[in-house]
Amino acid sequence: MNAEVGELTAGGRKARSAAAALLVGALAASALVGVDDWFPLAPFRMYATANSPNGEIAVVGLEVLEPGGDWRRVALRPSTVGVSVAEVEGQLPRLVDDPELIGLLADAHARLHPDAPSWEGVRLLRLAQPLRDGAPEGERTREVLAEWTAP
Amino acid sequence: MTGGETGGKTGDWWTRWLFAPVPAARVGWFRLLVYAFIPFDVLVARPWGALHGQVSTELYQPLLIGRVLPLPAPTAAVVAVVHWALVAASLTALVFAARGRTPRVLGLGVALLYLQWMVIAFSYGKVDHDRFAFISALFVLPFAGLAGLRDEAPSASAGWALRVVQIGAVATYFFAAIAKLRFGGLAWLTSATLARAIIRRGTFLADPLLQIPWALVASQFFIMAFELLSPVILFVRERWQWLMVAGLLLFHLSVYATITIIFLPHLVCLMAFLPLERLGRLLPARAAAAA
Repeated sequence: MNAEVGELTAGGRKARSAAAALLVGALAASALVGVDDWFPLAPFRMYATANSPNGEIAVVGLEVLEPGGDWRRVALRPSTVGVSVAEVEGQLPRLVDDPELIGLLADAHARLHPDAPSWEGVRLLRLAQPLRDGAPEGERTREVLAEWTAP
Repeated sequence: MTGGETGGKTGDWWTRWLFAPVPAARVGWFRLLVYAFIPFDVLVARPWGALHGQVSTELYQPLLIGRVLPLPAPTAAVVAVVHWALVAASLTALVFAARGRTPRVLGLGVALLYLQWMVIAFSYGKVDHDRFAFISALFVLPFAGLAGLRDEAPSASAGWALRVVQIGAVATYFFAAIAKLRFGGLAWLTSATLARAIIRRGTFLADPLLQIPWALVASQFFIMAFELLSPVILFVRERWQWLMVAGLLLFHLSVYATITIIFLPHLVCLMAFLPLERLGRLLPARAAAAA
């Protein structure tokens, strides 16, 4: 137990030193060549991409069809469909290729809100705000990216 | 205090720096914070992790560690088991930490459960980068040694554990800057990236800033500079470290006020720079005897 009170044996010191060096090395390597998939290692790429000051800022939105109603916007967030905007955006190519997967959002909604009307259709939207010189200018545009309706 | 193994001057410096002793109680209090944070994180701060149990496993795209480790797909039952096992394990670790100990098997168990919880949270298309230091902390704290909450005797193993957490916290800034340079390039500095953050999730405090693009660009220069310079905090005197931590807390609070992003587990880890052992002096005498 002596080594436990803070005085380290040579071996304990060596192992801890190697662990720290390994951590720094793994961080540096993953920062340079890693991808998000390597979590919890780097790259730490939150807001690391550069948006053009004269481009547009896009966000994915959700529209649903309730029985006997019209399409209406609902919040795309974990409390409604179990996943967030960023998560849907992260899987967007897959979801657009295979709209059956979008139907799974209706299932998740039904499980999370069993008393709410079930959704007969789900649409993913791309909402984009144009920028000019780094400031918003003009109206948001709306485009349907993918649509699923209950069979 | 130097170890038997030295590899010249650099090795000496590294060993002295990595194992610089700190009062044992500092890591004792830090462990208490870390293990108390887990139930808070899982139940209050990020309850949405548990909501993934209600989502079809067809939307589960496991991270690398989730594919390498034999983890089951997160069905509702799996998520519930991991959820409550993690809460129970961290509360048990909290009780031990209050008595100055973290048994290694228990501590590593908590670390692995938390990692599995992270795989469940971040395998649906988005990973967060606010908890590298926290995960590192879970893996090193079981090796920090005995640390009574009033025990201010210098401890090299406590110093090492806190140093690793500090490295993790600083890496979160420094490598975030490297990622900006890698993915955005120098154009990141004058880009509309903060405008994107505000348009997507800005608060009423941030929205007026959209009309002042130069202020957002200036903020981007500031962020890049402070993230690149962040390793300085690892090498300055304690009093400077405390000041810098105060500055970092202000930064995170202003980010929260403007775009509602807060790096809670990372903030817990910034406490690894502070003289937490002083909290032990506030303990009443009876509790002190127990600790």
